[in-house]
Amino acid sequence: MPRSITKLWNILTGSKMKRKDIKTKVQELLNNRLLSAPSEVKRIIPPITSKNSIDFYLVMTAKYILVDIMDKQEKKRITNCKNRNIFPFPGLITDSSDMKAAFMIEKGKNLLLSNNTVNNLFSFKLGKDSSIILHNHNQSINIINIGQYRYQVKLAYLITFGKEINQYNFLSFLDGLIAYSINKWRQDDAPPNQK
Amino acid sequence: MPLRTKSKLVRRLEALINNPNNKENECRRFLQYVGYLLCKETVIEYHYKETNTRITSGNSDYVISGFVEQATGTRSVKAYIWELKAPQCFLFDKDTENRLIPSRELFQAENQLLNYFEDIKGSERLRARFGICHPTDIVLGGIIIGCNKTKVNGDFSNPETGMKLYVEAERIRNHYFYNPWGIKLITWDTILDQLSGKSIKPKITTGPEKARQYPIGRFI
Repeated sequence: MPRSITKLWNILTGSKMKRKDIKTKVQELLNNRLLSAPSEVKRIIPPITSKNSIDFYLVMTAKYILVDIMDKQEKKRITNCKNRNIFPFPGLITDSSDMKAAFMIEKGKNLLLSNNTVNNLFSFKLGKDSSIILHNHNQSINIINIGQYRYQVKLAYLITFGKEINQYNFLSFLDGLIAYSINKWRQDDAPPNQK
Repeated sequence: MPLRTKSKLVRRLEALINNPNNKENECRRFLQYVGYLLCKETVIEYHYKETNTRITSGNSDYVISGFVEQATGTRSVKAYIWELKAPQCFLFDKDTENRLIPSRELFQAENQLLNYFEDIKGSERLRARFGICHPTDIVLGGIIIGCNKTKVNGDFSNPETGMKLYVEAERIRNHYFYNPWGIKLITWDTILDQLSGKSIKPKITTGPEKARQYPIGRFI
């Protein structure tokens, strides 16, 4: 993300944290939780490309933070978007009241959305204080001057700010969200008598 | 966990949080369902969960230990020490119109946590009980205290002021005291949020206006 966006984020949110610091802390959380995840969870999440760290793309705005876990394919898609000067997640999120969206989420914590498909519509109208896991989320949207654009978010963590979650404490909520997702997948994978 | 059991747990914990009396002991029982949150790494297998560990300086509130895998692939056991206070306890009190001060219970929790941590690190007997080989594998977990309704104690001329001051007080405490030592400060609502997490059923949604063209996404 351009440096100007970070500056804008700092101004809008009043945060004193630098993007580099945030990235380092997010990296630490992902490494602690996902790298050490047991094999039944690693089967579900996108293939981890490195043995030592998780590759991710970070979107920071005054209203939300999106952490997209990248495998090789996703990395290629995002690089391609950057080269074409396209935001990598068109149609995924809107905060505009006159735009329709498939999901409206407000004060929803630890929500897991798996295998959803949204066509020609925004996926999320974001309310405040929410934490969401996107797993295999398919988005297709018709973009001006580009045409139909399809992509899949294999795994992403989305946190929206409000009165409870703010730019200072969101890392704790992100950690809780990652921990929740791993536990959920482990439970789903467990034999019925252990659930 | 079956859905029915889960929603029962959520209702029970919610009732305890909203109860006017001190419900620390009753709430403590719910931590067995969120052990994964109390450890900083993903635990492969839990080794030990204990409430009220007897140590020299008093009783530690919650200790959890489990096998974790390092990036190198080696496994070790780590133990996390947590201090609990009731959801009815306040986190901060009004100090002045422009500043909050940690509540007596929060000060007490900090002090207890640090003392228990030192005691457990120094006790070979307790380390053996948790399966810990080296004192560095004993880790400060954090403090669970209060709830969203008890973040600030005190009347302010402007009701918004209390929450603004809370954000600042929490930030300062995290920045200078808790984060450098890996201590987490969470409320019982965080535990409730973990228990009440939901999966949304998969669906396919198609917009009504197929021909409509949207602008390129932007940073909002």
